[in-house]
Amino acid sequence: MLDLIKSLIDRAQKIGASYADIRYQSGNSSTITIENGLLKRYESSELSGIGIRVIVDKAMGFASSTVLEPRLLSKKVTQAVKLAKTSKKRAETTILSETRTKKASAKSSFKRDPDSVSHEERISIALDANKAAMTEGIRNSTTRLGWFHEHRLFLSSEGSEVTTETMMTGLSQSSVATHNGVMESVYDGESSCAGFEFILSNDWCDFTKKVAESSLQAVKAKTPPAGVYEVVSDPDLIGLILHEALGHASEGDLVITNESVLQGRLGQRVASPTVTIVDDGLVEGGYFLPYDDEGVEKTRQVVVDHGILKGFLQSRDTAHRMVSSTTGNARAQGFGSRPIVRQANFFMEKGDHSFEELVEGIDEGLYIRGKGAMGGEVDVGLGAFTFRCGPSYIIKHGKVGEMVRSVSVSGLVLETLKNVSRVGKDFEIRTSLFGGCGKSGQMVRVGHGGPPVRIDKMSIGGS
Amino acid sequence: MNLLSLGEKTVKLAEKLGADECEVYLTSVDGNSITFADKIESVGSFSSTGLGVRLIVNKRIGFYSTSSLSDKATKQAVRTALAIAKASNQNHEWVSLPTRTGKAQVKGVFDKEIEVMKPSVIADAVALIIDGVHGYDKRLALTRSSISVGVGKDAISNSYGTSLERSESFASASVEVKAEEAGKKGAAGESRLTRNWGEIDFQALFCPAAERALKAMDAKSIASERMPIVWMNDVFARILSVMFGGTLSADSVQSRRSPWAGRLESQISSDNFNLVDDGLREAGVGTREFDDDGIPQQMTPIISKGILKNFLYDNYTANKDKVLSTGNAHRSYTSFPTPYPNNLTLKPTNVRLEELIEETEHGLYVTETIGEWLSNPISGDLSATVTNGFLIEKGELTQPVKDVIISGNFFKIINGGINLIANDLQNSGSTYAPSIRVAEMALTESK
Repeated sequence: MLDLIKSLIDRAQKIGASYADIRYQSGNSSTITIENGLLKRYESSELSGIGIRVIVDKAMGFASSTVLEPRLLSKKVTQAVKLAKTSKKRAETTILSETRTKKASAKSSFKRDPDSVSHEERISIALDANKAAMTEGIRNSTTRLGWFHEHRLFLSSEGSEVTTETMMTGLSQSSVATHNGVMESVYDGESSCAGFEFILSNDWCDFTKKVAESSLQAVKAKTPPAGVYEVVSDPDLIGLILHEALGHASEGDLVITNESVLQGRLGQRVASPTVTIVDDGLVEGGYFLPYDDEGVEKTRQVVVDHGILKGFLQSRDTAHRMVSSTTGNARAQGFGSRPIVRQANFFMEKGDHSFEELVEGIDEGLYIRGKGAMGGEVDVGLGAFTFRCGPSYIIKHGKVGEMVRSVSVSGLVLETLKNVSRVGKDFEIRTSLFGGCGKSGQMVRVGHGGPPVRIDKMSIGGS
Repeated sequence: MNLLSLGEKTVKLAEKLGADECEVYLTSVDGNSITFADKIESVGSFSSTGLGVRLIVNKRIGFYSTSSLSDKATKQAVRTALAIAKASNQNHEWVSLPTRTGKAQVKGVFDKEIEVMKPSVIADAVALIIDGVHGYDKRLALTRSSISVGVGKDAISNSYGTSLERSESFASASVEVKAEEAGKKGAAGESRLTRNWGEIDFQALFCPAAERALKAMDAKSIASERMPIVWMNDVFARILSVMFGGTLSADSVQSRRSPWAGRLESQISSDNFNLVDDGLREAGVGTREFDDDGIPQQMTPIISKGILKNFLYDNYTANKDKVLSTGNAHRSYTSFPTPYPNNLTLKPTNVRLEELIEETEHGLYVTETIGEWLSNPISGDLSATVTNGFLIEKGELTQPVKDVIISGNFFKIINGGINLIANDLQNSGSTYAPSIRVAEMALTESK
């Protein structure tokens, strides 16, 4: 395959490309779904394909295919070059910033290949976990056990040759409970860039039981009245909010087009001095991203340093346009998509407050949680975000009290971050096999999290 | 490539190797797309193929899929599916793969123009939009916009002699416009997803977005209160899709995830709320000759005069309930089929959108939201943050509005909450809805 790809890159250059890169991706993924104690589906698939990107007279062309015949791929190269020429008159000037040519390979650490575990054992792990969560009052129990193993190879006409091998495993649980005609569902999952040892070494029955208990509690919980509250957020929810509301706004492509609320604010205060925010490729608990899909090493990028906006996330194209250095944030969902600026593991650095210190002094507030949250959405230009929290708790007189459900939070990120008054000393980053982040129709896996934090003012949409 | 003969050959191979029944689903897609802002950022083409093998050995189901249609990959897929089947628990509810397959008559789902379209035609449409926006107002610029077109072929073969193939096309355009003047900013977008290139008026598409982006520069939040809400058609279509897309499926009813379980033939909405799943809608985004089981699509009433009439079935869930499938199987080649609406449609009336607004003394007209998909279809809790909207005062649109959260319960809204439905049917994906007015919902200022 390597020789074939090299010959395709040569061909692209011969017919007019000043630059060409090719991404070859191959791998397999599987999900076992168990519902109410029955094996519902065992879906397994393999995927491979090639994506060709060329620059001709500073215009970009792209072609992709799952058919890997040399003759057809050669045609695809011609097509990519022709497509670049199609836009010539109106093309945005694409110049890739200088970067060190890389010859490297990296592999996420794993001990047990899923293939070394029998189909029967995989099914029985998921079945047992599912049955454990079928307790009284539970109307539906759905468990998913999943894993993937993927190789990505990147080659460019500049001489870069980067391979990454990633393995990921995880298990998720969704429990639906009913009480007095009310139904509530709670979802949670645990995933890791690891092999099947992650699955074999965890007590999944305990995990799914806790999700079931949470749904049974949530269905009886009240919804707090809408209003503005003092809140403490767990690492998961603040991580989600940061990813959506600040992370996307720090993506160079959105800054260039002036779509981001952070545009023009470099060097300015965007958060309280207790807040430092980072995007990194390799973090414990996070997603594995040593190199991006332009073959650039993913470096640690400080976005906010003690409240001051310090930098943005970049691809080679946006780095050139913004006269900045590359950060290794050009990512593509797969070979069929062109790389665009994406986050890797976006999180807040920890502070020095204990959880008790975060809660103390709050007379009437909420402890808002990401576990079981449905996710959120943001308007990057306004910096406006809205999130559905997981089951959360009332804070009364400095103590965490009863559970509340159906809590949604919303706000303007720059206001919210300035209202962060205390940052906790605990720290957790999470990633997910079962979900990801969407942008321009592409889904990539990311990590998010940080410490728990106290926010002095947060709008809660409730009953 | 001949998908049907590969499908038939693969079914035979599976049977020879020990499968009691086998189904092979094949797909191939080719298309082009251009992403642009004020200039073209990238022009691309994509081709992808895939094959999914589902087979049954003594009520044990095995499945495997591959993006490669090569001989070697196909054979390997069959072998792996067999190995998984043999390792799986018996599914005592399994009856059989679909036996009553065939095609329905549908119109307008394949556009020959798209099949032979040169990328330069798409580039011309892009130029029309770029020049149009720049000519409309000098304070406007484009951001993250795109046009894509493609044609796809899907084929299904199974052990009961099913050998079906369908061809479809799609065109999509998404235009994001921003306005800027003296530190004030506004943004708005419009998008279309259709079967035919000619259905999109590229000249007109950006105009409403341009107009709203300009007005949005003066948008403000408003104080919390309860008031009537007019939901624009495509925003309400998205809410319908969130609230009904999953829970009308017989699968979610059978697995007790749906709030509608046990509610057939009971009243769940007001008389004015009539919902159908029209799998045969002319040029509908979800219109197909047959569903992903190979069963002809049909028109299925869902809510008629407030009464819940049907759930949506694929072959598996229909067999389980001993009824006929409604032709609602949806899948990709990498997954099992599952029931999903084809073209979920809220029936329009003959009232114009303007009348909804004119008849509102004090209210909010909502044109864009974020986060509406976070609403909960099980409890009915609906919440959405308005990013673009207008206050309605004495029947006229006045102050542009942003940053307010609307909340309410969807089940109550459809049951007595909606007092006006318009005639302006529009789709978001494969869900079609007109604009509607809800008598009263809670607004919370978002700060």
